[in-house]
Amino acid sequence: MTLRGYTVKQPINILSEDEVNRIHSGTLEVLEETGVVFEHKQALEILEGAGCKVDHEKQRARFPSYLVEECLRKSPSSFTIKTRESKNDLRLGGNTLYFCSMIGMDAVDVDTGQRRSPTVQDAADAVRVIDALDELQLSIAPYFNLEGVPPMMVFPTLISIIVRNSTKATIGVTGYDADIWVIKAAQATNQEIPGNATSAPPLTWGEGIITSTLRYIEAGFPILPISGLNFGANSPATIAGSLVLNNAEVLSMIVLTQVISPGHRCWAANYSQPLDMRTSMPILGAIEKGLCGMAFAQMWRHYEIPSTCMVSSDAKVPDYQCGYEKAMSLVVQSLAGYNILACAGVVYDELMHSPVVTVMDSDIIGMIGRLLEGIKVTEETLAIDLIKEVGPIPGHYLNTAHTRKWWKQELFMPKLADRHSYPEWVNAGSKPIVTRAKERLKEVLATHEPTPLPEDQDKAIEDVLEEARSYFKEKGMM
Amino acid sequence: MEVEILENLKKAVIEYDPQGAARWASKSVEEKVDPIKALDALTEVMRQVGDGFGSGELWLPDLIGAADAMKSAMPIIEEEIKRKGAKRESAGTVVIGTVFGDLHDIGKTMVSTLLIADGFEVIDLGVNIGAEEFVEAVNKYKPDILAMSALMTMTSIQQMLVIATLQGKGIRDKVKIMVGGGAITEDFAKGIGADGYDPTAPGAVKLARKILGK
Repeated sequence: MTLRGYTVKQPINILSEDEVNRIHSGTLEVLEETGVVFEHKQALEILEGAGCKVDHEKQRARFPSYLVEECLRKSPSSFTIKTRESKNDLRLGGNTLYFCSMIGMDAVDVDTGQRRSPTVQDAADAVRVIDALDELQLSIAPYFNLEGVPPMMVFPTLISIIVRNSTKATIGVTGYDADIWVIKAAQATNQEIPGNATSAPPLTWGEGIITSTLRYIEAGFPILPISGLNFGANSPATIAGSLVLNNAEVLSMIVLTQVISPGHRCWAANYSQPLDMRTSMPILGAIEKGLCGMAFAQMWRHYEIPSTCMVSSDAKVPDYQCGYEKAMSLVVQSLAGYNILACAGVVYDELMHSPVVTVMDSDIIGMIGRLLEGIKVTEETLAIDLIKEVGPIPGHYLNTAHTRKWWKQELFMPKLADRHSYPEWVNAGSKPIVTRAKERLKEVLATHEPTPLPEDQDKAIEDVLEEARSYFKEKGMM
Repeated sequence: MEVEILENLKKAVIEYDPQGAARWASKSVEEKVDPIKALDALTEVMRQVGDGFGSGELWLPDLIGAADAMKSAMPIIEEEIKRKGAKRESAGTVVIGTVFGDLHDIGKTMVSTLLIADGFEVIDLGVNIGAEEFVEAVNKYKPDILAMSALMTMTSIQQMLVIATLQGKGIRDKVKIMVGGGAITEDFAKGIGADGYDPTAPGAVKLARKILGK
């Protein structure tokens, strides 16, 4: 059995067919004429063997169009990612949409709302909440910083926290040998953890990232290439231009993967947004990010390869801005036809994460789920006979069997949104949404027990951590 | 003639024209314009651009565009100042780079460019710079400030390593250190013993002046 997710029946196309073709041919032109830097000798040799023109001195590979097209065809359009519990296996592709948590650097203290370094306990709580909420199907590392944990041990520690507190699918990092421990943890717990390969835009793949990606490929785990583009800074200022660059970077890694392992499971990620031309910070809550994301999803539906988008807000606290930016982005990206949206828990770009926000985001996702279900038009739902029967006033529908049967199917009831009358709201303590979310969070943490790891697997995870510590000590990295 | 050359030099900068700026800088050397005056002209026009940015009329691409034009004129004028045995007044010298294992260039380049525009002498080491290379550059250039960028948590550790290496060689107190990048926070910067941190590129320039007491 695979996890349900949501179905996007009719994804929205915002590009014309001609525009899709122009972005695609532009991508091929950039790949063929400018090429991409791979700071990795072996990767360059592999690409050369497959027909790329390689300048070894400049570490640059130029991709013939036929090779790119061939690799696009080889990359599967749908596939399964195995998790700890088969009910949580992900069937990625087609019109199925899953929601994922999103990483932040620091924690937002649940009680004070202040920014601070997250502890191991914060990370465990954040993961446990994600495990508990049905609206979320993937659980990635909530933080990339852990109080008292040496930097090199942050990701090994996080992966141990994730596999111990969640049975949902997760995604692993690349670079700095962090992948070694992710892969070992996955193998120890009998699951697959895809590798998220991050480019250095424009048009560059770093050595450490490529080394990690090759290890994920060897382990047989799916690959998710991503390029973080800021319009006008490391990418053209135009959305169309950024789409070409994004495609070129992601495709170059998909080509490498398909050449090494034909038919390997890959999917593509969009993490593009405008740069604030006053502060020099990326703007993740911008509506232009939504526009770009919609077009990216359309491009990858055209390629018949699954896709992912990151959604966040620029707000520093879970306030109105946080709510509207995330809700708007999630609505448009859901309708765009992505397969995974990473969003829950994050605020302030990717710099803060809060389980209080996760709880509120799951309400947004629930509402989107209802939106995606659409309108059922049948003989029964059209209710022509009923309308005739009830007729004009004093007829009404509250007392009909049709209402009793249908209203709950038609109406989604969010867990946090306040829909009481004003006096009821006052009597309940006049609580704003964040207060209600904190209460729900505490309730979830008090009641949800994730499926524990079998004893031998738990021990194996401890061994992986120990091995990681010795490894980094030996390398003089901690 | 001199007035015309200097006006054109300034014009090239505010028109974001690196070729024009280099051309008028060369022309100023040919026509024996006092290179200190040429430098003053550049400083003045960059101050105008900086004021425009401060007041909200100009934006980052304008600031970087003007700074790039200035950057292309600078070596020509500096060369002439050196040839004449004169000395350039600068706000300070900064060695800057993105740390080892990190290829993220854009944040560092923004800071580097804006520092030059603000009158600093900047030695930009590039990306993926190891601790030894930073230390070597500190020894070689004797900068007032060492600035390091790191986007990722796992590379932020490198900033710590560079500071430890400087301490090990007994030269930590010879240079002020500022750090930046996506994964850096005020607390982290304090924790590793840096002298300053700012999350934004324009803020980094203000910070550089502040930590040098200017």
